[in-house]
Amino acid sequence: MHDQWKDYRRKTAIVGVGCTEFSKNSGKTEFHNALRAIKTAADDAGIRLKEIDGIIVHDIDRLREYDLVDALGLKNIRFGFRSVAGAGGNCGSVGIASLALMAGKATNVVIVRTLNGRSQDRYGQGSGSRYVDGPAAWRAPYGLIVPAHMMAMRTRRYMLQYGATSRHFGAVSVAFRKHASMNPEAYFYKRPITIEDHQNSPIMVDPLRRLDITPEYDAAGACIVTTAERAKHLTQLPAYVLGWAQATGSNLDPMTASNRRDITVIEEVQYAAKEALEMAGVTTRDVQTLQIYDHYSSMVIMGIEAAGFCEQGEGYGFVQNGGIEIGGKLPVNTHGGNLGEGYIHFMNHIREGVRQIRGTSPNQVPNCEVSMLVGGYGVTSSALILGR
Amino acid sequence: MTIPERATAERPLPIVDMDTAPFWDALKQRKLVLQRCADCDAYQHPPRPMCHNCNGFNVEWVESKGRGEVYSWIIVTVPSHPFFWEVPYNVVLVEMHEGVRLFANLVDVAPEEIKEGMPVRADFVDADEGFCLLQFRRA
Repeated sequence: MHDQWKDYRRKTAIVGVGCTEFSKNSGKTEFHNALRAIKTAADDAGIRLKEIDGIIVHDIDRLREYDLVDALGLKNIRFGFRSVAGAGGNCGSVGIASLALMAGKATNVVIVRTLNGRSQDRYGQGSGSRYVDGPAAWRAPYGLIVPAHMMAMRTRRYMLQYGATSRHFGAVSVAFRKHASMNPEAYFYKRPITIEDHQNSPIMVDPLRRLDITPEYDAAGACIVTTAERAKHLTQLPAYVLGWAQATGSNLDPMTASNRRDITVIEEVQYAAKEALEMAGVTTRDVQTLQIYDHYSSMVIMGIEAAGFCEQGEGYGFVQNGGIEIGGKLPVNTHGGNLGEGYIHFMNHIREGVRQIRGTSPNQVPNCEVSMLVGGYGVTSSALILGR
Repeated sequence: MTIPERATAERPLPIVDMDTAPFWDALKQRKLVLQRCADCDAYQHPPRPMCHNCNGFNVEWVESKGRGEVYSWIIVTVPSHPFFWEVPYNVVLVEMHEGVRLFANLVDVAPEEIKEGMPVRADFVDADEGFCLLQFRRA
């Protein structure tokens, strides 16, 4: 624990959150959806769009800060940044926004991600490129093409090491679809699944079934971060930033960690979670709900282990018997996550983490004072602790 | 996972740069080479300009013994690339005896026969444009 960390606790807050509808075809540009999400977040916070003076866009977004400045008609942006690693970076973006706010380099920072992920850029599919470079050069020539292939490789190893089965992974999908079924904003509202549905869904890449894999959506999501002082005078109960961290772990080899000593250990989450909790001055026992990236059901299990809620190899037991459902020992992804609500690279998980602190979640944890978030992993990850 | 229309039915090929050329050039000679640090003897893969262990730039290429064991694998059952249209096919992650892990296909082994720790040996398969790719066979 670095002594100075406590000076950064509770000095900033997320005061506004907003997402567009999750759909298979938004019928709008990513630019349009981004502005909708930002407007929703600003209205939620009770600030005017003209008060935004800091922007963090996503590293893999087409949208750029200058697009937003022009569209919002702002006089000036004082603080701009591009997040690290798509779904993995957003918790860190809240932290970086907090640093800027505390340094007096911005007053209201908006963090935004927009992706027509079903009608336009389908990340779940191969690019079809003839020539591939970077990590893909070592994979694509052999047919290891899409993220599901890469995570299936890690999932298989997990099964070999710990004896987990497809049915164990299904408990995660069932839990998140249950939460989504009670969340009017979820794509799968009123559409829960059973473990049999999971087991009957086709194997896409053995050992992963269709219902283990996040569907693709069009959507945008945004949140607004400001100083604690300013937050007190705004519309919503502030979700104070207690701690955050970014982390890569070792041998990241994006998505596969192929040369990590143990590819089932999500080191980037281990480091990020530990540091964020320490900074916040809390432990996993204080965490009342966890929103964690769920690109694949099996990876949620490894993520929960890495975040410190159970030992390595115990996660697949932890998620059984309603363990991660509302009312269970650790309610996880109470909005339904990627698997149930929608997928916009963690921005909707942030919205849900904030709603839990406000007490406005469709699956509210009673008197939630500490809400933990763990962003995407397999890439550079980050974690965030929010509090009352 | 349907097939992207814009794709062709050609096998994806690596973009080779100065850091990786020795690896791909050796495959064309039907040799598997791995990067090893001349100073501290640490192996690494994929190849990089610097030794990850001692941070020296004195990395060299040595021929692998070509032996390893299956560390993990997948069986693709729904195609996501037109070249890899015929399913099921496997991709294995093999831990070489030198300590690094490599992806490739394990040929002439049925999906249900692939096992953890299965001994395999490096083999080679021609691809377009003079490329040669790695593949594994049961050892």
